[in-house]
Amino acid sequence: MPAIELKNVSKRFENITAVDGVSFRIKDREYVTLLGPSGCGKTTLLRMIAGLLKPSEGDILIDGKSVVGMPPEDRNIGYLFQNYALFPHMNVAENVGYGSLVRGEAKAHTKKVTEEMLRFVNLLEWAGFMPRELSGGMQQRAALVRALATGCRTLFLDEPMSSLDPKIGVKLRYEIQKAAKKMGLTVVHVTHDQSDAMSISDRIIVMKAGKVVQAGTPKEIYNHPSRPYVAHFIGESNFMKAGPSGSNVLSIDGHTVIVKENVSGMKGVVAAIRPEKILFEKRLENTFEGVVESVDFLGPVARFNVRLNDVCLSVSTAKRPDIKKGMKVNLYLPPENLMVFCDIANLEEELKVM
Amino acid sequence: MPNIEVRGLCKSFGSHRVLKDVSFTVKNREYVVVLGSSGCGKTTLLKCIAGLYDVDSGSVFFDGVDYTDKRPEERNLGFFFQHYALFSHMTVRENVGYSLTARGLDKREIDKIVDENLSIVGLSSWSGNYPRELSGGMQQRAALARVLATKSKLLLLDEPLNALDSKIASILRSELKTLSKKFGWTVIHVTPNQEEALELADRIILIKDGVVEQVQSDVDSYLKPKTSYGAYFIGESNFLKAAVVDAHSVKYNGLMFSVSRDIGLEGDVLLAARPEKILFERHERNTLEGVIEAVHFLGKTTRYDINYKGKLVYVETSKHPKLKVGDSVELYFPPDDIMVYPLSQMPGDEVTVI
Repeated sequence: MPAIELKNVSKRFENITAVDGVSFRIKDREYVTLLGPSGCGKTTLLRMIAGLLKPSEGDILIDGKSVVGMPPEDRNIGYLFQNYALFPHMNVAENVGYGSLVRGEAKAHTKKVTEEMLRFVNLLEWAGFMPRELSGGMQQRAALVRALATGCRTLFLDEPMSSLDPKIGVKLRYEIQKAAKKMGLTVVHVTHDQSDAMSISDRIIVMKAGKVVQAGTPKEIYNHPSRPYVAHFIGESNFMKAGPSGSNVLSIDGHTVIVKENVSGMKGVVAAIRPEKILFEKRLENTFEGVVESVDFLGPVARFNVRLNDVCLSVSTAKRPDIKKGMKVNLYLPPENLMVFCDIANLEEELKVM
Repeated sequence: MPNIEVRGLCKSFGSHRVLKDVSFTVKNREYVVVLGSSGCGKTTLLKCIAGLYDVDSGSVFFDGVDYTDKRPEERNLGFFFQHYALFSHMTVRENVGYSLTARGLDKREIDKIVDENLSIVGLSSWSGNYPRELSGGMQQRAALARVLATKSKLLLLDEPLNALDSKIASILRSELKTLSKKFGWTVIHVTPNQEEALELADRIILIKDGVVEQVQSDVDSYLKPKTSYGAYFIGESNFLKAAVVDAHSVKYNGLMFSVSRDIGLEGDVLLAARPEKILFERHERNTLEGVIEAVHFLGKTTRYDINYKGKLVYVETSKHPKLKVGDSVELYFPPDDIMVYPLSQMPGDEVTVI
């Protein structure tokens, strides 16, 4: 039962702290993504769990046993990197069967496992081809089953989609998740792409500057972000500086706005709302008048940028061809969809991702 | 008035014909995205326009003047190519200001332009560093700032946002759009990313195997793509094989489907429907019954994989109905939202037709 536990794990490189006191648990058969921008420490963390790097501090347990100091080959893990890294001089079947052969399994067994794996990702008819004859997506599928063919129970994925065309990457992410669930694997998947993380994870661990800032299901993270950074990095949000002006009332852009929370006494208040939660409606409360500055057609939806007094709000909705640039519109911000954060001294710094 | 015309462009490498008779025009101040998968010839096309490759046949005109045989530096373009390196012996500031220094602008003005553009790409605090001290993504952003600083009215951009963190890419995407309109640039932007294309483009040129597949406005590319490959590559579609009954109805698996637009074809046809247009409703016609196989919460929307007779139909909705794996559902394809293509025009090998 490969459950993984990290206890206060840190990693320092000379004077840089890449991972800073991280603790979490991953359950057996859970699909977890480590999500964050470049340089947040997510890959360093993954490499420590896999045994490719040694933590400076803290403990890593797999199945309740400390694995710090244990070489990667003893950890029964599969690893898939950004660049497919198939052996170029071996054909697809030889690549997939390599791990099994090296472990000294009988040839017949290796052949059977290889075939099963290739059938699993629809590559059986490509068994005799060399890696360079395959498309990027096919090579990455071959690399995936090469990792799985070792019989590993834990799979580590380091940005496996990032060198593929987006169209192929989206398809592959669902295939990887399906395969992992079918085989009952525990998966730790590192990515900077919030839509990859949202679509296939049981849980997402969001990182910033070497620390975990929130861990939860995609729904929890999207609907109840712990702080503005999370609301910004996962999905999109409009942020508005606000001042409390009653127990459930905020003052925003010269308007009074009703919220769910009791906000009295709060300092450094920031209200946020998702673009798809704002409605083109006039109600008695929580309604702003503004002018449409621009309209971006995005396919399934359109995005309307609406200028209020000091704030510009982005609204996303399908089917409103009647609303055009330059029009005056009313925006209704439903209280149940307003997120309220406090003690945000510097919003720009909080939202920084580059 | 920088408008561009490409006429009958052909380019081969050895026996491999990369571009096969490519023609199109780009109007002054237009933002055109050349979209296609890896290996379709889109970067080669851009390099021919930039003058970095000689063409086998065909011509390139700028403002009606034939530039086909002119050297790149005579074309007065700003261009960004992937892996187009920064000067390693110059700081970020010197790199970004390079073309301005070469043109002999005074230092104060150069500093101002450089500062503006470093701020756009989020590198203000790195101006004194050397390229080797920056991460790959940061180097790419510096290279983009260098292009923007050229103040050229005509920009050729080859996957400028590829390989960046997805959040940073989406921030820079809207910056590019705002800047291009503000300064009246004419842009040809190459990408494999259809979301990027829909957001940025006034028009999308879709390339497949070195041939222009379709040229349409961003809105038409999505709402009424001319080809089934367009319906597949730009956004997403479910494809069904059906038989024409009359001008507005088809038979699919023994079921009657009404189609609003005039079909204008006979025999077997390919129907296409966007995942967000399919509704969980039962109607007399246009309705399939299936079983939910997977549910993916995506934030703004929820995506359902629905098994219909062993094949998958994808439905995406912003209403988040509480449906779970194993539930039986009815899927209604509204007649207004069904696109029809000749069956001879299959979208591609990777596409499943149900």
